[in-house]
Amino acid sequence: MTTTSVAPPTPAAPAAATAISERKQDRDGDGQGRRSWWGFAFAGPHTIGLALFTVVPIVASLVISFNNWPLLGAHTFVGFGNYAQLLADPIFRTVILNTFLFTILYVPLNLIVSLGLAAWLTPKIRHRHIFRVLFFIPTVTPIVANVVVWRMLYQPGGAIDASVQTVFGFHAPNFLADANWAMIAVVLMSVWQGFGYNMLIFSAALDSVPENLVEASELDGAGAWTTFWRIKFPLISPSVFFATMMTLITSFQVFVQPFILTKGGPGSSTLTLVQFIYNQGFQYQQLGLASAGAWVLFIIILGITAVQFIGQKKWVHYE
Amino acid sequence: MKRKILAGAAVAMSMTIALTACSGSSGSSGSQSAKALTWGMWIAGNADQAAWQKVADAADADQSGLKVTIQGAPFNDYWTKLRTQLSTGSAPCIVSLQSLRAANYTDQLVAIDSLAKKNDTDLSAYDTTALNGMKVDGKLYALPYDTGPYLMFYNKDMFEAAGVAEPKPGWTVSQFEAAGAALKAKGKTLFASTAEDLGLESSILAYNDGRVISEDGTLNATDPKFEKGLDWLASLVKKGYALPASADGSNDDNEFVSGQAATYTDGPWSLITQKAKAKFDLGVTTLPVGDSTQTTFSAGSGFGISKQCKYPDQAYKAIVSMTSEKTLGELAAKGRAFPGRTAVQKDWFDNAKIDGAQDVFATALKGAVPLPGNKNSDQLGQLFAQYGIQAVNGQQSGSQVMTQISSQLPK
Repeated sequence: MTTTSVAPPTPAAPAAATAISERKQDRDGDGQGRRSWWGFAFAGPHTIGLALFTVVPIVASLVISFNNWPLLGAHTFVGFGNYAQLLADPIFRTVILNTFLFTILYVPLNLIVSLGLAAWLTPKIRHRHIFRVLFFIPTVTPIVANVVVWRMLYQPGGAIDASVQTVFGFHAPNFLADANWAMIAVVLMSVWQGFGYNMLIFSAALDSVPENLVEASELDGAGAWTTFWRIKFPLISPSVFFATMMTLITSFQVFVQPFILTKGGPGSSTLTLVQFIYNQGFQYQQLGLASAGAWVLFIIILGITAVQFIGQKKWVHYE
Repeated sequence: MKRKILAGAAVAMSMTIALTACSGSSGSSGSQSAKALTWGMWIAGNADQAAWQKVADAADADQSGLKVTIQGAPFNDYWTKLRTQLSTGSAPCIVSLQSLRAANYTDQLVAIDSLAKKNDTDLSAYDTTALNGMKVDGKLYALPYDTGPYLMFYNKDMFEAAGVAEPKPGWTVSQFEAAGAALKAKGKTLFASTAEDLGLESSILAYNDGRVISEDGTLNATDPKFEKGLDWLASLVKKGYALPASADGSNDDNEFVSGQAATYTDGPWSLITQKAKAKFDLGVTTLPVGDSTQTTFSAGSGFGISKQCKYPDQAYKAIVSMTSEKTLGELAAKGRAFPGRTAVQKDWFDNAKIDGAQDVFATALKGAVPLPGNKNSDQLGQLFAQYGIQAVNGQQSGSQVMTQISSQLPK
């Protein structure tokens, strides 16, 4: 899972350009044309990069999605044929349900764990930076390595099974090969892997809550619980909104965890949308179907994000 | 002012060039010349890389000035990479092929019959089964470097500790299950189950002749015999004779090497590596045979030439060198691959130093049939990893699983 950080566009480059052109303007008085040239010069590399590596592939995938496009061999135009085929495919419906199930389980769990730990890691905790680093380690270690280790933990005879047997005297379920457990196993592993990033965001946001507000609420007799939900949470709500949205998007794109832990199995119980796209494209060599699946994913994410932006007015407070 | 514009444009240009240079360099791996050929190969590690480099060197030595460069990838990723390269026109000149997958690639490969004739290659020196495995519709697409029947590896120490007689080549399903019961009585497990295509298909072929790919290469995913075979594998897990299967293809290998199970199925190409890894005395025998006439599949690998290769003559000479008696003899003497040439197969046995291996191979090869390729065999492999484990682990019956698998395969 990649965590995309949305950085505000840095005003530095245009500002510098303006500064230069203004200085020149003082000298020879016709800065207008020059200013726009400098703008192009600075925006150029980024624009070309965006066009080359983002716009072109997006358009290409849209074109491919309207074709029957095998990886090897000739392609033919089929219009919305791929989309119709996907919507009629029971496996595709299972895949969509699985992806939503993963998101519904993963996002709240991730937020609860990360917010809980961030709230616990107040400046009063001694050596809290050590804990922060510890909790952040799973996020910065390569996910593939993490998943392989977790597969060993989950396997029959692995660490979990062995501990359960020692303590309780019976075998743990075969987590990854049992259709009832596989998704839960994938979600738990993902929460462990992913909570560190959100925790860091929440922790930083909580640190910037003004001390006097907290003190005032304590003087008014509010307990820690009330102070957190009435004072701190509204103040960090923009961070919570940001974290929720990014986590939602990445959870719809989940791939590595099921791909390595279960290959989508047992049956199709952990087959997620991105793995379905991968299978269609690179296992079954149907690039058209894969691209159509990718566009369905895009539309789902776009829709959910739009709903979130509309919903934020109710609970996100920007000062 | 003009100068400023120029400077600005120059900055933009240089950045753009830097950017495009980054993207351009990745495509250059597809460049070829008569003196520099690329060779796509699956590589499992440093030792593997070194061994295959020797093979590339052998090709270099036979043609003056030639340089063969290996493009390595792990086995499972190799196929994804190869397909992507073939579709983008950046495929290597020489491609490594596995017999059962050859059919997936024939429209992208050069049929080498005419090249063999032109170069007077003595094809009869190659192992017949191995050579036939590389033929699709009667045309030859690769020169084989290894071959071999699918076999069963066993842990001699575990058999001895349980007081069970070592399996003899040609042992039967009932002897196999009796060993399972004896090991279970001592708290041990006989067999590490797999859901890998070659493992499932071979075990079931030996059990009752059931097969999902018929002899002419067509898919028959709802073969009732194959479904019964899956139920038999599930019964082994249920009785406690076998460990459950995992979606991870290397799981059974690891369980065997770490001593969790006394047997598992694999090809001769793994024998030496597994023998080196195992901390016990490793033996090899044939797959347990039930009610069947065909007792195992044989599979092998070889080197072919992609149609994107602009120098097929040089590439052909290179693959001849790469499968020469000397090269294969050296690979055999290191135990890398059971040679695709009959003359040097003895070198492999001498190196393997496994008692009775020659008998086992002879017995296995007597009942072995080549596993025919099918264009959907990769898809079948993926579906086995997803659904096959449900059958083997007894969560669903063989027929339920095969119905689900066949509904996802093209008709």
